[in-house]
Amino acid sequence: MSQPALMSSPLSSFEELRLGAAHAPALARDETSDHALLEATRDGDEDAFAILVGRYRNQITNYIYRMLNDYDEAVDLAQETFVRVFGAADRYQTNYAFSTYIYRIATNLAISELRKRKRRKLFSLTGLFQSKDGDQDVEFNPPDESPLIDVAMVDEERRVAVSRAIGTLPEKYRAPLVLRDVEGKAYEEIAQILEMNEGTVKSRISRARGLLKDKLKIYF
Amino acid sequence: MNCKHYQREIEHIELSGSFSHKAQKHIESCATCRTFKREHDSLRYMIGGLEKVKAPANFDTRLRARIAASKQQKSHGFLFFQPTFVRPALTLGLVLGLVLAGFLLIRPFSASNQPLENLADLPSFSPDWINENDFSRLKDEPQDKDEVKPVVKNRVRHFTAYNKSKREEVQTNELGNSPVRETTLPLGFDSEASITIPVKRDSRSFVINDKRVSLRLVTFGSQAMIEGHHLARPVYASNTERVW
Repeated sequence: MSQPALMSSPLSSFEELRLGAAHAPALARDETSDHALLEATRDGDEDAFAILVGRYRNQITNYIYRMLNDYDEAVDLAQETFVRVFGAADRYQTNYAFSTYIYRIATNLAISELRKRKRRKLFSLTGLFQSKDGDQDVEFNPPDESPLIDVAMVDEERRVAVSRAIGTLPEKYRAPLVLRDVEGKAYEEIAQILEMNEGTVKSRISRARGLLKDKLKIYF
Repeated sequence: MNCKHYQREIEHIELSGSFSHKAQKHIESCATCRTFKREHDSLRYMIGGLEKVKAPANFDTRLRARIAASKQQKSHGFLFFQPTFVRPALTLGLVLGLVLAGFLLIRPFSASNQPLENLADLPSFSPDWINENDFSRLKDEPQDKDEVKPVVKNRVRHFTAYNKSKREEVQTNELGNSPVRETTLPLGFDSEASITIPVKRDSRSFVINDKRVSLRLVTFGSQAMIEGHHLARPVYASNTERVW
C-alpha cells in the first residue's frame, strides 16, 4: 500500500513539465476557463484535458482521500473521476461551474465506494494504520526547522485522530464536512455538488462538527 | 436572541466573512458562546491542519492509459460484452432468475412433486362432509360481519370465524394474522377430524381415500413475526383437486 504523497509545492508535475518546456501557448492556456478547456476536450484536444487534469488532480485526490481514508483507493477513484469526465465530455452542460461538476462525480464515486465497503462489511485497515515510515517516496520532506520532537508527535497524533474521526462519520455528514472544512468550499457550491439545499448542508455540517467534537474532546 | 442564534452564526460564517456587531458583543459577554467559539475554532484549525495529499507522479500516465483503454473498449468488441453492459445484463438475469424461483416456490405445489402423507385415521371421504359455502369461506378473509365477531382483548382481536360448522377462535393481530407455530385446520367433518400442520410457507399433500388434498399455509401481510412465530393463516391451494 503506497503512502499518500504530500503537497510540496502548488505546482503539479504536469504544470512543472509544461513550464519547464517554456511553452508559450501552454502558458496562455493556463488562463483558459474550465468550460473552454472541456469544450476543447470535446473537440478532441487532449492537451486541453491534460490541463484540466492538472488543475484538479490534487484537489480531487485529496478530497476522495479524506472521504475514504485510503490513498490507493483515492487515487484510483480520482482517475475514475477523470475518465468519467472525459467520457461524458459530449454531454457536459455549463449550468454549473466545472469544479461543481467534477466534485459531484468524485462524491458519487466515493459514496458508492463507502456503500460497497459497508455492504462487504469491510473497512480499510490501510487507512487506519498508514504511517509515514513506509518505503514509498514521500515528496514532502521538511527541513530542520521542525518543532521539538514531542510537539511534532502530538501534532501527528492529533492529525491521525482527526483523520480517523472524519473517517468514522456517516457518509451523509462526511461529504459536506470535508467539502467545507477540508476543501474550503462555499455552502452554495456544496449544496450544488451534493444536490441538496443549503439549509440541509448547514445542518449536516453542524451535526458532523458536533460528532467530531465529541470524538476529539481530549484535543480541545 | 438566544445563544443558539449566535452559535449558528459562529458556525456558518463564510470563510472570509466577519461577525455581526451584535454577535461580536454577545460572544464577548457570554461564556457559553465563547467556549463554543473556542471549540469551533480549534476543530476548524485541526481539520484545516490535515496535510493535503497529492496525486502520485505517475497519475497522468496512468490516466492516459486508462482513458486509452476505455476508448478502445468503446470502439471494439460486441456491445453486449463490454463491461458496462455485462454487469447490468447479469444483474437483470439474476433478478429474473430470483423472481422465477420465488414464483415457483410460492405457487401452490403440484400434487406430483409433493411428499404425500397417508392419514389413515381420517374418516372416509364423503362429499357431504362440508358445505361448499363453508369451504369457500376458508379461502378468504371473513367478510360476513354476522359470522365474524372480533372481540378486542388485551389489544388482540379474537375472531370467531372461518367455518360455520367448526367454529374456532383464532387469536389475531390487527391484520387478522395469527401468531402460531402450527395450526389445527378443521376439515369440516361431522367428527372432530382435523389436520395439524406446521405453519410454514409450504404445502403438504395428503391422500385421503385416493383423493389428493393439498393444504397450504401461507405467510402474508408484512411478514412480521410475533414472538418468533410466523403470521399465518390456512388456505387451500387453489390448483388442487378439490375433494369437497
